Amino acid sequence: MSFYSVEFVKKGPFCGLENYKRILSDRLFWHAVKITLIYVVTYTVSVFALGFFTALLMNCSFKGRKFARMTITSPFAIPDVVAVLVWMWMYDYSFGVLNFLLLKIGLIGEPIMWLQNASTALYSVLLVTIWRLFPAHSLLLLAALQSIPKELYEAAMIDGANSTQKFFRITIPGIMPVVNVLLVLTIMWSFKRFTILWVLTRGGPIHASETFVVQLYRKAFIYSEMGEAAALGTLGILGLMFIITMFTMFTVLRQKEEKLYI
Amino acid sequence: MKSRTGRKLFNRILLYVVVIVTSIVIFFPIYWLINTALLGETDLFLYPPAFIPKHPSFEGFLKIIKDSQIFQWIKNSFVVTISTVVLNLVIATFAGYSLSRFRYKGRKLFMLAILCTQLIPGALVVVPLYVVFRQFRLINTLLGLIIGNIGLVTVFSTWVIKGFFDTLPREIEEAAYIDGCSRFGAFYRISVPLITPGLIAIALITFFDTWNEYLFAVTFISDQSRWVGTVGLTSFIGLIAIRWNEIMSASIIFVIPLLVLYLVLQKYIVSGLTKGAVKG
Repeated sequence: MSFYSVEFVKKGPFCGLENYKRILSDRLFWHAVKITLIYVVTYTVSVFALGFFTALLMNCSFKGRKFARMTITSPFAIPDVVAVLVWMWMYDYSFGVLNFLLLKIGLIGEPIMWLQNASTALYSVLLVTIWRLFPAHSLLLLAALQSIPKELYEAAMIDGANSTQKFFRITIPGIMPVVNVLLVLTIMWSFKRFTILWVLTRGGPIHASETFVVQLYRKAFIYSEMGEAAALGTLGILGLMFIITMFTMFTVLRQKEEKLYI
Repeated sequence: MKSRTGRKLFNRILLYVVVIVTSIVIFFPIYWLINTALLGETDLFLYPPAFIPKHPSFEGFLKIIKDSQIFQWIKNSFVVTISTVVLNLVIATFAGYSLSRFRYKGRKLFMLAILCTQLIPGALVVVPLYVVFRQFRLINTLLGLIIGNIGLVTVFSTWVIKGFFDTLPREIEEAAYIDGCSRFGAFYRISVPLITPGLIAIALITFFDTWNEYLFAVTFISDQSRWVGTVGLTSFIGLIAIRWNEIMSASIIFVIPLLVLYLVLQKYIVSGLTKGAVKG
């Protein structure tokens, strides 16, 4: 479909690379690419950081651990749409609880328009997404942590290793295989994310939170430019395949080095 | 220099504090959801906001039930979701069994190919799918949405169910053949029942995914009365974005079937797994 000029389902004349040319020269397209990259990187880093942090917490044994596990993974049970609604209410400028709490603690001087402000919109959306999805990473990393044999830690203690050494020499390498796979999947998945973005901001105040996918949807169904949307989509897949190939090559290279040690 | 035990105690307390703070922060939005749903008109726009409703009431629930078509939407959600779950189970079970038990040319390629379809963003697929559906006059029908959703969930289910079948030793089926059972009979009477906890888990996952699905639902259906729960909930934004207690109430109503299902099925999955372990 990307090679035709499709005006809302009426198949137009074959126009070759016309659609592609139009998109690549569109400033908004490159803007969307930039936003998408910011989105993907921030999301991946945050979700791993939060997931790892909570996994470490849950790996310790303490009273009430089961209860803690339930509350920490609770966002997973909330549908995307419901999460959006709650956060929208919490983000509210005048009556939202977020502004209220932050003001009270003194972190901000005056209430912020989280979703309406171009500079905060994207990150506000990211916060909701991260809140909703990090439990998956948390559970997977917890499983990875628990699969590291305890004997390694004991041996290290006997050899006189301190906590930092134990962490960096045993824990991190121990979860690396899981992290690698999860990393690729997370990045792939973050390119696809749509619901929370769309419902919360529809691409944000003046395209501030318009990722690739949002722009595609908007082009297709709001502006009815199906042909361009299709071209956008094809470019997207190519770009994604390129990124994933690059990434996999890097991780495979690293794995080869590890094999030398064993 | 703090003593060994002193430091241990400090670490212990620190751990508890961190855990409690983290749990509170993460659970907060859910608590806020419930809190807001129970607010009455008077408490809703208090500043500072009411952390515990001073006059808790179910006004929000009653109003939203009266003013919107929320039950119609939930009914639609049920229709779409249950159809998808059932059909998906049928398709994925047959496909999974075939991939697991039979050997034929192109089997591995097929498995890889369907896996690759998962890479494509939903929003990308929506565009051509819309065009195709329009040709078949499936736009604005629940059937179209069901078909779309099946496409979304089948691949994952097939892979997982194939995995489950792989865990069954072939000897069981062979023993059945010796006893005169037909191929399909063995499949139907032995293999599938042994997979039951796995099937229930897949049914649960599929139910969740389809119940919460938004992209296809909002794109393919335009009639308000045909909306699914997800779309209905989002329609409140902008319309009655001010009556938050009603919106939160609607959200809770929407979430309840999920919770009920999860609680009910969880028991089956767990008990099914342990029974399997005993059989060996």
